[in-house]
Amino acid sequence: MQPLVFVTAARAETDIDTIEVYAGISPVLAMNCTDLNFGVWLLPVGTRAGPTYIEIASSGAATAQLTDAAGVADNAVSLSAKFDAPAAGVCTVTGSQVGGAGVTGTATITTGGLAGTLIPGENASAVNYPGAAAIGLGSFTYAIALSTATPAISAEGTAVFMVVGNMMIPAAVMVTHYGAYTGTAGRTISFDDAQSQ
Amino acid sequence: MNYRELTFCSASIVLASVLATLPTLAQAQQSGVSVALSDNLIVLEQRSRSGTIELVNLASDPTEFRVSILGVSDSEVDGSALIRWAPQRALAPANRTAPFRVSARPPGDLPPGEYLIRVGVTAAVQAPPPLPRETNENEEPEQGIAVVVPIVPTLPVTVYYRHGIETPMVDAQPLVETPDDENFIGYFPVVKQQPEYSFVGTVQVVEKTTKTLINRGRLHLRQSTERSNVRMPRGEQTMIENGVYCLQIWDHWPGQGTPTTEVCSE
Repeated sequence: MQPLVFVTAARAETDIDTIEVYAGISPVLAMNCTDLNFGVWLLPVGTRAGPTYIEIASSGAATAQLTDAAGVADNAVSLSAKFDAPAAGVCTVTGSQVGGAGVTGTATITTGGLAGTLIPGENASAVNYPGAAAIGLGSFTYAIALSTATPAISAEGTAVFMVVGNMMIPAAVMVTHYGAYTGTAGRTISFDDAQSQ
Repeated sequence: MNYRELTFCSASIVLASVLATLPTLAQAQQSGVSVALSDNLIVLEQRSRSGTIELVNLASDPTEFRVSILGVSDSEVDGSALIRWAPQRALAPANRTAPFRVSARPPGDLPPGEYLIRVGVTAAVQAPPPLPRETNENEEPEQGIAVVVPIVPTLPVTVYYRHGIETPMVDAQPLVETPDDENFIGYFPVVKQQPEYSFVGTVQVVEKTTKTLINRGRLHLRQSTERSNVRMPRGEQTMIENGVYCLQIWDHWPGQGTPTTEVCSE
């Protein structure tokens, strides 16, 4: 018995269809803050008349003021020109949706407080060489503040404010103090664009 | 090795390490840390009890977002007992987003009112390893101190849950001109109709005759804020001679369709 064989002929057809193409862009609220850099200061070993304060001005200018505890200028330090100059931290907010209604936001230091302690930064283990006395962690302190608590928001939804402050170099400087320091924890700054009065 | 030799040797080690350390911190301030969100405000209601925003990673490295409760002020109504949120941590791939979800779980006997929470979103960028510094053996070591304080930006997100209340609205008053103000022509005073509730809506100023859009944005008055001003910036668009300016207000964001109310200067 012969098997049944079915043969189906296929016919090519031309069809037209459409595809949808989707794309979109959407606003984003972003905030960026650069670090507060007190700079690199050269100073000799020894005991000074008192602590020396390095201050980043409230204007945000990248200059530092040096005074001793009595407010007298102390010339026994020098700012290194080989590294980045001292600079205020700059916080930039973009993408606020309040538009050009002439409103201001609210900037606050939310955690970490206004003051902090400095610790050796990266490569700290190399600074704490074996057999050396511990670095006086509690001796290095700093305080920060905001250039304004109510930054204006532009028509484009942008606001800029600065983080300024001062740091204290203790009166007695030992060779073990040389090195790079950073805050014990990042200072957290927040910005809210809800309207106030 | 006596004490003097040991001290000299140790000091050399210290100063050598300073050479390697100072540039790292001194250059760190150039980068900065960023955090980005699709929005910083969520309004939940009885008929829409959940919402989502996106934690936005604009960088080409993975970013970990951390969310923590910030608390509310004494003049605001704390909703932390009925507003749930997640996650506390999220890792967003490079140039991608991660969702942040909130939902309201009101008990059956919850009194009518507006409840809120406020959380802070922080991004921790996974920094690349520090670049090795080119050393010069003939270079004098630095006997110095370098100090850098990292600044971590946080964006608060406010979440409202409105339970059994009408959508809050504001009353607007006609334009108050400020000819002595270099930046603004004037302002429309707005006052909340329900002082105890927040207002989240859209405001838009247009010139009535030419339909020119002057400005548009969100108006967010906290529970503790009773009134505010919607200002009109100076500019070519706002210097239309004998122009009639109208403030249009929607009681929601983003505003669509016909404004809820309109006030014009005549």
